[in-house]
Amino acid sequence: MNCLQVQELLSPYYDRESPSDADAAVTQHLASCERCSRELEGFRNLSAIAGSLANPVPPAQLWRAIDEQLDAEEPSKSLRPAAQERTSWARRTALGSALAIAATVLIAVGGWFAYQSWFGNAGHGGDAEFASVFGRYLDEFDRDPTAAQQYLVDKYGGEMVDAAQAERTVGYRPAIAGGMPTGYTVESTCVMEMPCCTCVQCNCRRDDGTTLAIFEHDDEEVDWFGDSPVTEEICGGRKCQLVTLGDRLAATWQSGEQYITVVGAKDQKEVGELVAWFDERSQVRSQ
Amino acid sequence: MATLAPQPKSDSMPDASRRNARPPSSKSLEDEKPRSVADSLAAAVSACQAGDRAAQRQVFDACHESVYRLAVRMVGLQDAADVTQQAFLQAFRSIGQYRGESRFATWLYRLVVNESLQHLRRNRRSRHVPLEREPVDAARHEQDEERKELLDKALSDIDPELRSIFLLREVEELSYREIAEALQIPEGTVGSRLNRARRDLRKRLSDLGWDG
Repeated sequence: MNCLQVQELLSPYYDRESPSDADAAVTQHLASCERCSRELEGFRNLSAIAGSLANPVPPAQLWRAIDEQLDAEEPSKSLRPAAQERTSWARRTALGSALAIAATVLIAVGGWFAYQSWFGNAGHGGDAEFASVFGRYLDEFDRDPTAAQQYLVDKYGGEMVDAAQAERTVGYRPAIAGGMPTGYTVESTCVMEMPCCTCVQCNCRRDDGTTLAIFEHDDEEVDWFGDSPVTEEICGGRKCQLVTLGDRLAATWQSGEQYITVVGAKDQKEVGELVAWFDERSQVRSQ
Repeated sequence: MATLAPQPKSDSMPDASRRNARPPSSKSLEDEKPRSVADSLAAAVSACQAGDRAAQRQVFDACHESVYRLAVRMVGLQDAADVTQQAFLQAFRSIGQYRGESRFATWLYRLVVNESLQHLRRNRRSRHVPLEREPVDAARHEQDEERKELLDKALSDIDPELRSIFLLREVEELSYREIAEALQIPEGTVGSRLNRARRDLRKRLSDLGWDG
């Protein structure tokens, strides 16, 4: 091996993480190379100092601050009449095991103030009922996404549409009209008049049988998560608001002139992939 | 009630005060602490996932020193408490996503690193935060103190992502696989990133007058 090759392998060699068949060659090189040997010695010196760094003592009040914040977040969950059942939904394992997935796409268009209500917090007017409705929706989504969608359709006078019909109804070409990434199948699409907005929703079935619900809306004043614990993360290069729903996520982000909310995402990685996909579609639509 | 997630692997946080000879890559960090302690943490995590608020305190007690230690080295003493708090809040909010596929400690370290990097980005002080050092109780050799101060300064000057990988390896003693899981990077890139981190640190230390 030459120095360049050994330099590439030096950390794995030092950390005993390199393939055993490479170690012998590195050792042989080090026996006769002062430069690489000196570098390895430098790694040892760094380790020695790093290993002797003092352990900082955490502040005594650290837990109290966390506990108080958790207490502040807890009451918001109890506003949902379905909170107890939400716990059941939230604690379930991955959706794919036995669900019959009839994906219906309801694309939610317009300001998704309702999303705030979904997560159990009284947002805008009439939210107690709205929160109840969406709490029930989310509980049902876990058991039967198709039935959950039908529940909303029945509640808000929705109708099943195709992409062209959805576009005529909402006045723009919905993002899902451009299709979904590989691994997803659009099952069906609905448009419905939510209390806050006209929404287009889509249930998409993944190859593993689980379901992702997608809502599209164009209300710029989205207060999606209300008082529910919300985190902001960069997913797919965009700022997303994330809410944890048991072992799944809900996420909202702006895509072009629209806003997209997904329910039932597996993790941030999936959210990032969806963000990137819809961003690309948004650019295509704007051309 | 269905189990939320598979029983997590033994999850003890490594005891960084032990400075043994460089461990083999196959070293199990779970072996650092008595099995009963690791099992207690695993049980507390499961209880948290089931909504047990009391278990959150148990998880905090088991992990907060390691979390705080990493936060201090990442963002400095002034902001470490905030980052630690946010990391734990995020952990408890999203603990349902922990599926036991990795050690809980690895999963938690990911949150700490993410919170730290976000904090640095928000504050745009990634290259200027002095990593103030805690006062130490015991008297130490002056030269060692100087070296530690220089290392702290050098750490504060290198790229935050390289800082994190160095700390996870050298201080938290994670394996390459665990580092990859914590930082969500390919395991095959951990070695090259550590190369960069170590070389950048040595270069910075050299600039600061260290002859190591």
